Amino acid sequence: MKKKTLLPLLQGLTATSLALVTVCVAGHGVANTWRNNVDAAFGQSSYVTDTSSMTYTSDYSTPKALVEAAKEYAINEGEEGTVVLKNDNSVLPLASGSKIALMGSASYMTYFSAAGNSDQVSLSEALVNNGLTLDSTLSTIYAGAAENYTDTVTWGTTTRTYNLGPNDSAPDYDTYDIHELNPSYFTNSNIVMSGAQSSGWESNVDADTAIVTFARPGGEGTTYKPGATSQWSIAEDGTITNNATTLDQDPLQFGPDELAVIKKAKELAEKVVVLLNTSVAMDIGPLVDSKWNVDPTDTTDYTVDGIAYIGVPNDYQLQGTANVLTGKVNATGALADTYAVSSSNDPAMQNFGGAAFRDYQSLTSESVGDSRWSNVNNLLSSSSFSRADTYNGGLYLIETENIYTGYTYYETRYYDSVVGQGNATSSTGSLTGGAWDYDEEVVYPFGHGLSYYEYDEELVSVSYTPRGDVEATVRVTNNSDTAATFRSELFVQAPYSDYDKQNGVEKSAAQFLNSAKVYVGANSSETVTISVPSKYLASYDANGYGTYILDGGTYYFALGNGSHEAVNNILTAQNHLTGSTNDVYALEIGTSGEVDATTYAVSDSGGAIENQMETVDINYWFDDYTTYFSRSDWSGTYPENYVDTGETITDSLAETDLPLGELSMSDIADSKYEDYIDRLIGRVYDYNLTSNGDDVTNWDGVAGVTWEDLSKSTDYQDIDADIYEELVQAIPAYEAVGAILHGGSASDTLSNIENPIVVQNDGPTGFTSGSLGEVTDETSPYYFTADGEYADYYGWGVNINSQTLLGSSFNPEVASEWGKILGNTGLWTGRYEIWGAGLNYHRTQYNGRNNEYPSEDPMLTNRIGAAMIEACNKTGVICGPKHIGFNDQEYDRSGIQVYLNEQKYRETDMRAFQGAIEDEGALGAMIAFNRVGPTNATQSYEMINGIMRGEWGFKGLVSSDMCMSYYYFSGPDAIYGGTTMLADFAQGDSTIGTDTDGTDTNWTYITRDNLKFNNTLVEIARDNLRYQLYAFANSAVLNIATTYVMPGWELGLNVLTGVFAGVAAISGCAWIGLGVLNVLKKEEK
Amino acid sequence: MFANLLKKQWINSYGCLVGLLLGIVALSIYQYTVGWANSYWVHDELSLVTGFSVWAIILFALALVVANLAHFLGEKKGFLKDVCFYVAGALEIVSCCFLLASGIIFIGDRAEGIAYILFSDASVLTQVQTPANMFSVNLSIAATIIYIIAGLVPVVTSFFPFIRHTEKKEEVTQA
Repeated sequence: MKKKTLLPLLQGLTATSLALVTVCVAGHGVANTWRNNVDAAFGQSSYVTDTSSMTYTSDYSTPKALVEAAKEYAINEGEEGTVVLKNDNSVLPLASGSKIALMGSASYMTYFSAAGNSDQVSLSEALVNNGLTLDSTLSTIYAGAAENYTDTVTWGTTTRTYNLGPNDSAPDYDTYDIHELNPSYFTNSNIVMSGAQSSGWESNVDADTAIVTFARPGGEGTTYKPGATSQWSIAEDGTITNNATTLDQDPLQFGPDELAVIKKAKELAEKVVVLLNTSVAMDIGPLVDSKWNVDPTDTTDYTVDGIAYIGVPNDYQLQGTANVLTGKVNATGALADTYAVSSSNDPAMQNFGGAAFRDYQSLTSESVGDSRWSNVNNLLSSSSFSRADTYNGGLYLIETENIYTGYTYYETRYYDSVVGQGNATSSTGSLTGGAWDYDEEVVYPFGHGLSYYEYDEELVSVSYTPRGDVEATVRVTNNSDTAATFRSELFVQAPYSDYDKQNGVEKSAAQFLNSAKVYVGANSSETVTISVPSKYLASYDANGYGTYILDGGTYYFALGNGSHEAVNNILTAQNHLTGSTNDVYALEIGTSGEVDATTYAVSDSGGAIENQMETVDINYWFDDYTTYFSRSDWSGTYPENYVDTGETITDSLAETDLPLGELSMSDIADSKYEDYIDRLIGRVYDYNLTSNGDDVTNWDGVAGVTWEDLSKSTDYQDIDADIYEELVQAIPAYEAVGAILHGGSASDTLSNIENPIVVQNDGPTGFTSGSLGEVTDETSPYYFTADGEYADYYGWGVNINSQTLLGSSFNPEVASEWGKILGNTGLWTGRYEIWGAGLNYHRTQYNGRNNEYPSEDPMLTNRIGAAMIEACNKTGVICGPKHIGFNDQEYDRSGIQVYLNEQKYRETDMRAFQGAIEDEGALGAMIAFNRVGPTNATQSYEMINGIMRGEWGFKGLVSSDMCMSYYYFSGPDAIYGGTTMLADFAQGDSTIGTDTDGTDTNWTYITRDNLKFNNTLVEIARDNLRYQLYAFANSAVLNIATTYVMPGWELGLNVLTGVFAGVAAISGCAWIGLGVLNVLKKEEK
Repeated sequence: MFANLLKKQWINSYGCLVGLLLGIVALSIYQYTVGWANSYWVHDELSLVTGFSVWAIILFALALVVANLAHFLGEKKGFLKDVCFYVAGALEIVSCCFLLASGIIFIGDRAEGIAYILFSDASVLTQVQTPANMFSVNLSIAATIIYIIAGLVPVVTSFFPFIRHTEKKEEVTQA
């Protein structure tokens, strides 16, 4: 070969092979960051698990047994969670063989809470399964409409969107566009395609009952905006125009097209049943009484015979719903939310969304002297997701409604209106504008749910043990000829004393405590015990004793079909109403007129309970700015609206017309201003950038004790044992801090202790990213293949729960069953940690994410959560409740400052989580996205270390929500606050300084060099990790040793790198060698 | 003289020039995505990408200069010319590797954000697919592609000489 050809060839070959080496090496680095994803893509695993010492084993020996149990659970959840609200003319249960006109696009394109397995049960299938006949004309129409869909393929997964289905995207505090097929479209083949009918199609419909389903969707990042509603239109040629018509109504009200469907249903069938496929309480007044029609001038009668709530079902729950609708089982579900005539008129809705501080632009990193950042320009963020150049603290929300959300408002004001106290009947807050009248405010109360069979309840006895339990014995008598299950709900009314009025301690006229269900034979009786920890009778007294108090006096325990009936029973027992009742048990506790401020001043774990959250009260920062709502004067203290001030921000920072509030941060007193700013910008822990004597004393960690030692230790259940201290001291300083800074996907293996990697999973419906058969370790008892004996169950999606139906089941036993299924699916998929319990309470009906949370009532949520966690803990799978700390709206959740008083703090959202964490020892918790007061909740020392760890004895791991802004989230403050993992999703990065200069990848002011000046922070980080390691050690993680093995893809990559490097070396040497020879030869010449 | 110089250039010189120019374009786009206030990745600096890119650009320029050094010095053949070509070739190879590494590290860092903006659940997509975020994504994808092209083109052209051969007689050797 000619040299002039050979030399360039060798150069090219060298260049090519070196380029390939570069691609392989750089690619390896990227692949390492995404190791789990790459493993999954290749169907391989980088880790093998030694399951020989496994002590947490599944309750189900085969995948078949697990799937059958899970499906049975889901169907039962549908049965127990479906609520019959209205049942006139005996429309329900539907007799077998009934002819059904199934209408409403949500009947066919139901809003589900998960994507679903292939054998997902639709409503039509479920109804047919139970012997009903669906009218074919209407089925054909809607089937034709369902042909109009769009498939979106994302990384191999196809998602189908029905263009004519209900709008399943709730807004981000914006207009909701109602999508419903108006029956006028049914003759247009451009719209309903193959299902189009000729005019006069109505005469072909053969049905005795119409079932109509309406949906309102929800989801992460969604918030309904009161009054912001529109409706689509569809042209003759089938062109769909979304947001075509702006409607002068609320998004929770029925739109004109929806009302048109009801009207047509009433024409087509003798009886009509409406199903509510929603997680937010819709304004269903028009279905009950024409006086509540959306348009007051509309005289059309939209009332229907039956209404049932079906929540947001998952794969199999609709079969349970069908079982209720057809009477296969009794209806035992109850409303977990108040169905008000207008939810937008709820006192909590007086302050919703948030308003901006007037000086939102004045706070920049320069103005506050933030040496960590130099580029923060303002405070404003205005969507569910943060901007990249702000501290995200521009908006504030004052929850002046106090504890009075949902039924606690309506029932307490009703009680006071009957008793004649607190100006309850004033017109303030009245929907009609006249004297406040419960019957004009509420359509169906919390806890309402009809039974098909008549039954009586008697509250036989109630016992109270201080610091123990309240136990109520209820006798349930079935007056029918059919054996059936019945539901009992227990409420209590605590004394509302003069002390309470003087010190601003609020009491609900009826507080739900717990509920139970009992199966009773025909014409016979059974007793059932309902119990609840007695500490939940106490009220928090922030202004007086600064702890929980128990008023002495008569406690009225009451049964009832919902809160309203319970209050009426109490009123009857107190002779405010005429009649008699067996549903109330009056119990004297303490001495009337005296206050017990000691019994509940100490927590179950021995921690002193005292005021912790004063900085969350707006009045702490702005003296006496607001008056919190009080039953002592319903009129004078009615929540002032601090959001709609009439002014909006007009500059370019506001993405929408953001309300401009009254407050300016500069008005905060000088003595508090510095603390306020530090909380706002995440500088409570003053991270040192230069040496000040706080030098790290244990930089590289003292190697010795390892995870394996812990796994063999008998002290692993004692978090104070020496082995935990030795373990965390073995972690290098930069990894102790780095591991906390870089959480989210998985906790990584740390140097010296060699703990196993624990992958985190989501969410409230179950393991959304898991499916059966994904365990790859052939020695695992949970390993099976796609072509073996259990092939039918391979790939089965295990996220089959519905949180909404869990709430409306009113049955902690259902939650317990779900906890068991959840934990077992974790074992079968090799996933040991899940954010699987959404336990926020529903402050309002406008939070789109209510679909992940059970109820408006903290105590119902508390009992549901406790039962779920107790059962899941037994499986060894860590189930962490979320998002603790007043994530009351998704809008601006990544920064809004939420203000409230301490009684509300402790008795609403925190109480919803208390059962799971304090009573049942949850081993994990995810903190809310928002701020509590000016403090990012993830950085709230008072909440995490003060209440959760100090009072509740919480020993688990703590994670932030999605960590998207490194100005809003402050690494040092989160560590100081008690967080054990910040979800920045930097998987595979458990250290500081992966960059060459030792700078952290996200919190760029944290470098290895300046970390050396922060011994205090390092030791706090190690202490936080102690809790995290404790959580792992007390879960199924402990029993599984994880060992790294090089997966095939990595081996292949390494081989390729070697081959290319070899070629590069040979060709490079040849190229240079020949070149040198050539030069020498020329020199010789 | 300049026209004469241009006439002398052969495929590998143009490859180097393409790598240099595209490298500048890619670096500029990357810098824009971290400097633009509304960018999804504002302030998300990647020091390795910046460093590698800058070095690649410098080395490409150096390679072009060195490849033509002999011409500038009036030496049409011989020791200096050969040394210059080898050094230029080596510089070019290193530059390619820097650019390819930049592209891969860059997309590795941006992948999660891109996936989040493009492939999240429908409810999230409506929130995150803002014009600014979509522009950020498009810029990032464009920068990655340009980085890869900038790195690959000189690899391909490295099979050819920098300078056009004008000698009719050339020494031969056996392969």
